[in-house]
Amino acid sequence: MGFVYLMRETVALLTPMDLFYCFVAVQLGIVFGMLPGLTATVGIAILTALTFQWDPGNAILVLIGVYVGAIYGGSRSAILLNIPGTPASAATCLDGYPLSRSGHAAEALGLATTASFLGSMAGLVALSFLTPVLGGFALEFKSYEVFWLAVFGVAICGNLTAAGDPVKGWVAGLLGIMLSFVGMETIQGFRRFTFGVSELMAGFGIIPVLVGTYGIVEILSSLSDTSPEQRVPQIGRTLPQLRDVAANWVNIVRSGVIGVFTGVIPGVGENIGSFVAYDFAKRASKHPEKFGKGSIEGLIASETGNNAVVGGALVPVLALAIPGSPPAAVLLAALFLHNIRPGPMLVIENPMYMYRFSAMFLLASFAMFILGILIVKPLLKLLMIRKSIMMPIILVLCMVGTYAIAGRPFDILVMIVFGLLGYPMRKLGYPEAPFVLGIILGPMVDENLRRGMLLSYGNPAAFFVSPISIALVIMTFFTLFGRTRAVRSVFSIAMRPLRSTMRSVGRTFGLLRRNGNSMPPSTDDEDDRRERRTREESRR
Amino acid sequence: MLLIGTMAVGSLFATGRPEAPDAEWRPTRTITIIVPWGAGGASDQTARVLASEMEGILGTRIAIVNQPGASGSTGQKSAFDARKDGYTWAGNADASVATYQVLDYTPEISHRDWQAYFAIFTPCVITVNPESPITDWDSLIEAFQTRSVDVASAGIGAGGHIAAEAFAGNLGLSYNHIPYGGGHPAVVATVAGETEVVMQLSMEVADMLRADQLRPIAVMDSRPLNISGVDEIPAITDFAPDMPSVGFHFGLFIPKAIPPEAAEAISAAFETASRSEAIMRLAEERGSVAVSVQGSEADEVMEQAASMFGWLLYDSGVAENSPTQFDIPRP
Amino acid sequence: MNENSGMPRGDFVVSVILVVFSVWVIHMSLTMRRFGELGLAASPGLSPLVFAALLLICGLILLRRSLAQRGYRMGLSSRKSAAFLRAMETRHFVVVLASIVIYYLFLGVVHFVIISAVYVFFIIWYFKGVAWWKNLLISVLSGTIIWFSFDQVFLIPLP
Repeated sequence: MGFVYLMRETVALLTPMDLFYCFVAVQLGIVFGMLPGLTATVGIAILTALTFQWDPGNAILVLIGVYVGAIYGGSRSAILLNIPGTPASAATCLDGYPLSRSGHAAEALGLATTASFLGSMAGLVALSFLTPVLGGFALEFKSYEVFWLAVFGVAICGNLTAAGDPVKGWVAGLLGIMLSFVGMETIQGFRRFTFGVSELMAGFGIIPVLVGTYGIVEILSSLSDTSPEQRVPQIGRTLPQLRDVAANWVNIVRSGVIGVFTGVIPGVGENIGSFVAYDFAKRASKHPEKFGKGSIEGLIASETGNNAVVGGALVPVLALAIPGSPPAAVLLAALFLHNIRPGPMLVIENPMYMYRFSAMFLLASFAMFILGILIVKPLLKLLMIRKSIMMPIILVLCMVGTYAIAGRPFDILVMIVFGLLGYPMRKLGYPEAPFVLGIILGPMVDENLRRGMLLSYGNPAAFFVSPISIALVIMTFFTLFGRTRAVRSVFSIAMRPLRSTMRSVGRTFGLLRRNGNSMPPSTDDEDDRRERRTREESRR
Repeated sequence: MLLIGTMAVGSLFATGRPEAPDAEWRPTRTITIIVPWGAGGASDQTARVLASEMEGILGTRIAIVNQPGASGSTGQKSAFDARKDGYTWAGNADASVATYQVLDYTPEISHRDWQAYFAIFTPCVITVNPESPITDWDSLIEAFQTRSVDVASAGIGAGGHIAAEAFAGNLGLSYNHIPYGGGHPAVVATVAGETEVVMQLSMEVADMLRADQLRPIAVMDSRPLNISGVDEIPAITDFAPDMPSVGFHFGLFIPKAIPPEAAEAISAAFETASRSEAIMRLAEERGSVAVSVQGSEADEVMEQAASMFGWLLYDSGVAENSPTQFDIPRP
Repeated sequence: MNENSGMPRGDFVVSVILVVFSVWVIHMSLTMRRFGELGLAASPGLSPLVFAALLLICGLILLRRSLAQRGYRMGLSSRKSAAFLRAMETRHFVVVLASIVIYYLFLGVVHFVIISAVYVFFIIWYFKGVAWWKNLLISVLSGTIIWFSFDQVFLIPLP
């Protein structure tokens, strides 16, 4: 029944005017997403102001389009320039950029587009058919559960490195967390590590840090690189081979589900969804060593994950009027301003609106896919521009994007300082991705840990009560100790009886690294292709 | 190429620049409203509605910039530090601006430096999780007397915290304060049952009350509160006559030092905007009251807020600076 | 690859910095103000303490590893460092960084279009990108387009 309603609403939206608005909005969103600093949140906020006087139907369609487009658009600059346009695409950089460096930019852009589209479809299913069920799930995530989720996020930092050195990943993640503690904290309003500097009170924003550690570092290193610039000839087709997509169906479904659930959890958004999906894909993969060096699986996981979050994050918006992510918070406000009251009353007062909303989302996803494939070729031309022309313009955009977030000159300074910090970090092999993830996770861990303590009157046992908490604790445990050989052997002796059950549970979710049969056999194709690629490179 | 495309697309949105009517002060460029809170919050929504109404009257475009962090003090300060030519405003609430000094966030900027323009008044409402044994005033008092009740709030100095302090202080009770990162998370935590009581603003609880996800006990005001779709919420003074009113006024803040003709034009534009249908609708939907308070009347509101909130925070040991330091009298 | 990152000297320096930094943070967080009767359990210092301790552990692991690879032998010589300072790469780095800082300092003082165009022009000129008139065209156009689309169309504040 729901499907019929969804189709009916979609057909109703297929007017030339609506289609026009939708495509324009998605294209705008893609541009916002691509530009360093400008994120989905800012894009939606700007468009809310510009469409304020519009008819609500069109205005909401435009806002959804911008949201979908921006989360997707971030992957463009991540793949082409190694500068994620939004924090949600930081995980995309890990494999997207190496692919583009090895001449597979078109393929990477096309695959990321397809993955984003499939992720959006996962989000759509959640949004249009599972909203009442998932809405209840959102409320299950309280302080203890969110705390463990954040701890799990810290644990996967060690997995987000290309060099295969988990310690450096954790160091980068922990450094990010430490720096996120600067500023006024939420629980007691105490000013930590501000040293009386009033600008530091608001802490380091995620955007200045992201633009600094990726954008400025990229500008500094590519401009100071004296080796003659070589243009990598781009090969490969834009529309991905169906085979590549089909070979990754487990990966796509897994990442989609992870993305949707991460989106549903209030306050946990795209940024974390893509990292978690990436980590799970790496764990389940037959070729984890390729991750970070141009793994198609990694790229697909991250892009499916972050776009699935969009649909997931809109679920609690509709069901409970609680935003599932920061951009969804702005979208929620826009809905209110346009006289649409989502929340528990929506189902009673306006039951069809859920489907209309989903239909807008569906339309925006299709627009994203079409526009995304169409702009691949023009975007590839960016790679042909000389670095010495491209980089100064990117710097101007970095400055503008960082300033645009809050209109604070201090943020630009933060960006430059983090660029200076990020440069030696990159040279010494400390990955940026966990560092950025740490900045996001720090406040989450801190706030929920201490709130949990207040709720339980200082009794840590309360952190281990709910089933979700325990599940997250187990996941964290395997993430940390599934890796280290020494610890693993100790545990295999101590926990031999438990291990077999754990393995069967873990296999389903790809928790253990050694689960041979969960990936389809066709990854061997990828193997061959990879070999061909290296041969080509060596010939050059 | 891409940028040119953006421009072409963008010009679609740029059309429809409103015409200027006859006002003394005609802004020649874009006015910026700094909202020192996240997009989507109460301050943000009030500012956005006011801006869209005032754009037409002032004949210029108004941009909204969200600058969250440090309880709004950083953004409020940057609005204050901007050139005082009438082109930079702030969108905030009275209780926040009035306590930045005592909380030592911006001790150098007094609430008296600002001219406030309030459009929305939203009182704090004592609400409980519907599964809680607390059903009315008597069971509420009993619960606070016999056990430690978890009260959620949007953080130190936020509406829900001040309401709880006033409630507990006035009746000689104690409670377990659980701060959250904002009004919405605090309300959601109570809906989810993590905390039992929340006393946040009516604006933030209205929809949860409508959907029976929260149960109202009393409004922290001397008048009962009517939210469409919800039974009338009794005034707290019906049960405790000495209880002070706790509520927030939302609106615009503009430094008093701007040129007088600019202030005049803004004041006239605000007068119309605050009585517009859009503001009425916002107030109605979000369970709050539309007001139109400016000039010395607004100064009066600010003084009251400074005195009440300032002393409450100081007496409970949260604020570091004594209100007497800033000539703020005890209520 | 796993146990050997290939740069023991870098690891040694970083690990020493990490150990010192985390010990300093641990000290700071232990002396941080405590609220209420829960003491440390709910104090603002709790999380910095925990994560600084974890960072300390990571730092010590790195330190042990780099010591095992004799990372403390810096092998610094005046000739090497002189060569480093003279290297083209170092010079480029300093120029690019300085230009970014100067650009930042002039933002808001000089009009955005002018300062951005001057910056882009300078970098392209320094790296001998293209002919001067093309350069001028690129820099002025990019500055103007960015300014126009942000400031005029989308009402995004510019410095």
